Amino acid sequence: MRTCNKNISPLHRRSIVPIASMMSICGGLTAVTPRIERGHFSTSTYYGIALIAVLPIIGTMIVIARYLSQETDEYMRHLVTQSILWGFGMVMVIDTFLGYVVQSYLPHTAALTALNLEIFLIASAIALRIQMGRNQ
Amino acid sequence: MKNRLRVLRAERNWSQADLAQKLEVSRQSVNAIETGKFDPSLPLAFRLARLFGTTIEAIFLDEDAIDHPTL
Repeated sequence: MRTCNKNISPLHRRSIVPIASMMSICGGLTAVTPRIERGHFSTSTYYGIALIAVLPIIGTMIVIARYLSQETDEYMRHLVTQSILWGFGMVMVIDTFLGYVVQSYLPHTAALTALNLEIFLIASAIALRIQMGRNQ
Repeated sequence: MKNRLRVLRAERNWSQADLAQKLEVSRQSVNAIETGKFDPSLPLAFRLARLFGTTIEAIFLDEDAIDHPTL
């Protein structure tokens, strides 16, 4: 899962491509969701939309799990695991912060939790780059 | 954990990339082990020992054993 590196292995490529696709799907849903009017569809339709929004996240977790199980380089596995923890940490920090802000000041704003996957992946990628940069 | 990897590698005129290739790991892994930032697993330590024709104890220094020899 090395980023911005021309010498990526087939395993890295097999992991990066689907994750980028999941991120695009999630980004598309995030852009479309606020346009869906409240109360326009039945309750089950909204549940369906919510379930569709979850699918890229499940897909990303499967890709990451597959990467970690197939990566033979234990140091890379260690770095990716640490980066994932940073990614999850950043999601919790931003979610908690925005949750309180939205609840207190912007109660009618669209759900910002839709950006969770993007925040997770971007934070994880930055953490991985920093860790790899320290060990050149 | 301190180790003699850099010395052993230098004795054989191997670069970090050469050693990484022989061990089938990334060059970053070799660098992280050499600088003590990452302790390898037991299987990788055995592979290193086999590659250099020595024992794990001859590559990695058990600092705890030096500080607390009775433990």
